Amino acid sequence: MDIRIHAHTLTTAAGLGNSANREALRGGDSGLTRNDFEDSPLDTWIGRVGAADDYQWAENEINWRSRNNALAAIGLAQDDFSASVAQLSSEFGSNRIGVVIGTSTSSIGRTEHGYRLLVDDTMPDEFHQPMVHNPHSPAAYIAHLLSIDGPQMTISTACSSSAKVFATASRWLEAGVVDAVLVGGVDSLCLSVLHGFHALELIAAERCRPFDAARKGINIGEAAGFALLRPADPQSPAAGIRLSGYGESSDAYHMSHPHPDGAGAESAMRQALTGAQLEPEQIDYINFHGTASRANDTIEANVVSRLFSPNHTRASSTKGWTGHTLGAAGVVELLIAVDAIGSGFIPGTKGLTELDPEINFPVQQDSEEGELRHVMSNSFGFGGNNCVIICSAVS
Amino acid sequence: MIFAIEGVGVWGAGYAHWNELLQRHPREPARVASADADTGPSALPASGPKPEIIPARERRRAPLAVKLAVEVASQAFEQTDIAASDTACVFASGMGDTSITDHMCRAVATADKLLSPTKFHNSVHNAAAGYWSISTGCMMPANSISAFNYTAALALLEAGTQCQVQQRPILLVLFDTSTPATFAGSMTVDEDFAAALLLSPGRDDSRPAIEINMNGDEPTPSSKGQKRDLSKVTTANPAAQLLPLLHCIATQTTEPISLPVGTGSSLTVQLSSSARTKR
Repeated sequence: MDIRIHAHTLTTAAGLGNSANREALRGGDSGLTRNDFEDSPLDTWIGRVGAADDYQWAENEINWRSRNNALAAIGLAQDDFSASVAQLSSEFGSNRIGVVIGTSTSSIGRTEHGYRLLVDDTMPDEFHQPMVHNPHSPAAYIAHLLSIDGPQMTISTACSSSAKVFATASRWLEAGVVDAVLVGGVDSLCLSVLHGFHALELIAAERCRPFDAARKGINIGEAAGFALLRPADPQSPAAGIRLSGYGESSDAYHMSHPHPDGAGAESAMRQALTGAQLEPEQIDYINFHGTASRANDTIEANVVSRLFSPNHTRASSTKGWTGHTLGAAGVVELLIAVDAIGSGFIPGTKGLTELDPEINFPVQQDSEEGELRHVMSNSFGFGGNNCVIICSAVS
Repeated sequence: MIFAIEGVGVWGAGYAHWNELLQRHPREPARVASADADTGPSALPASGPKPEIIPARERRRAPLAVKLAVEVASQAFEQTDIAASDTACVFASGMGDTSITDHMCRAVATADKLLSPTKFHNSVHNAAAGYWSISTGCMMPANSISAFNYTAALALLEAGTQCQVQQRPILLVLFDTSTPATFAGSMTVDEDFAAALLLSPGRDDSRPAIEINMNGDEPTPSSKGQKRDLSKVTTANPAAQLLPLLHCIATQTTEPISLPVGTGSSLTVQLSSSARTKR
């Protein structure tokens, strides 16, 4: 089945909406700022979406209140995305549109807040929000906001969550379960994540430096990204970007350390190529997972160097602009790669000054103009959960 | 979509194994199993199951939610030659591991905000899938999903579409554990429950089969299938929404069960009428 991205939008610390993010990647302005989130004492940098700080909740929506849901609403308001959804909803019927959202945080930030105010193990009344204190909150809220009645599901597989949503949507469309799917990811800053990664000694005190010889770890970011998927419209055969292939796998190795040989990552990349019926040399650009952790970057780059040649393929990590947006990273980075097809602009790797000598692939440091036809995005999560997505220009 | 049932696992609602649930359900759907001294439900250990497939050192540190999920997954593979290491999986939980959520929220409410690194990596929603894949050496795709009160239905939809599109077996695991007191204002789950189904594509006369179809409307609450819930588990346990289907499988009842998947759509699942069962 020929599946197309019919509309898309992303919101990160680098900007609200597609053109703001494009300009940040072009101009070099990172969205990272020093950590001043709530009362976290951690010395690090974060990717914060300021608009989520003072989001005004309407009285009739107050049951949904959380930073994560605010970020979802802000994200959906960009690039006329909601209007595109409404158009397909009207065309196919609101119960023929599916919603599949990736998240790792959901609204745990709101739960954390409620716990700070516990009296006799009870949260204050305004925190009695059944639709917020569970993993499914963003998907349910998005379906509610856009009046979508079709199947709604959350995928929560850590950092691969909002890449896997594309694979699921592809299958739902192929099986005829729905006629279009709203996919995406939303993750927001919260103390559990900042301090959890810190406990694992994965957080850098400095701005992150993916693939750099002196890299010291990751920076956490928040983001919301969405795409509307549908089978190619016979009335507009050249419209949209093709979802060409996907690959999914497990490392079966360790909960928080990737497989040392990158076996699972390699399997996911090969499956995506096979599904897309493409050879590695046809991939023009890869957006690395590239978190700036010591383990991920070496392992991932060396898998890429085994499969791809720098003569044909450019590859960079864009987490130096956005931070590691965890459950939203999959969709954010795929959409950055997709945007590069349209703009002819290949982002470099912000934060990279000297490539780690143990890495066998010339990671793109600076940006470059170039025509892109096929792009790939990698997302690898805790528990050894891997997902690779390939998108292509439509000829 | 039609799938052969290769295996079933269950833990909770008084049952520590699928065989126990089978024994307690009479072949005639009209009779209701009674909890008398001979056939009463077993007392399930409060600490949960101890699935041996997780190596002992890891099993000690594994959260209850993980042990429940891995236990029922292991049970589902007992009845088949299909290898766990060759099988893709979908793990599903409506509330996630709320005991770890509780731990983390309490920790970050303090000034130090010190978190256990093990508890943090176990807090990912896909922890159970991760432990399962590591314990079985399975490098096939693993999914971890949630859909609050629609979780059981979406688990069937996700597993079913994977099985159908990729034409290979799929393991589906549902689990939800009792919630801490702090959640009482929002959602309460009183008992632990987990269930697993191992499905393969198409029909095979030697096995029972289920059919899954999408409908256009949300079902009314009085759907017939839901009257058959014989368990003591509160219907607020999202994973336990699978119980009516398990009952139908156990009693060879072909009544359709309608489960909402969204605010305006549902799916229908039923035991396929032309399948013969050997259990």
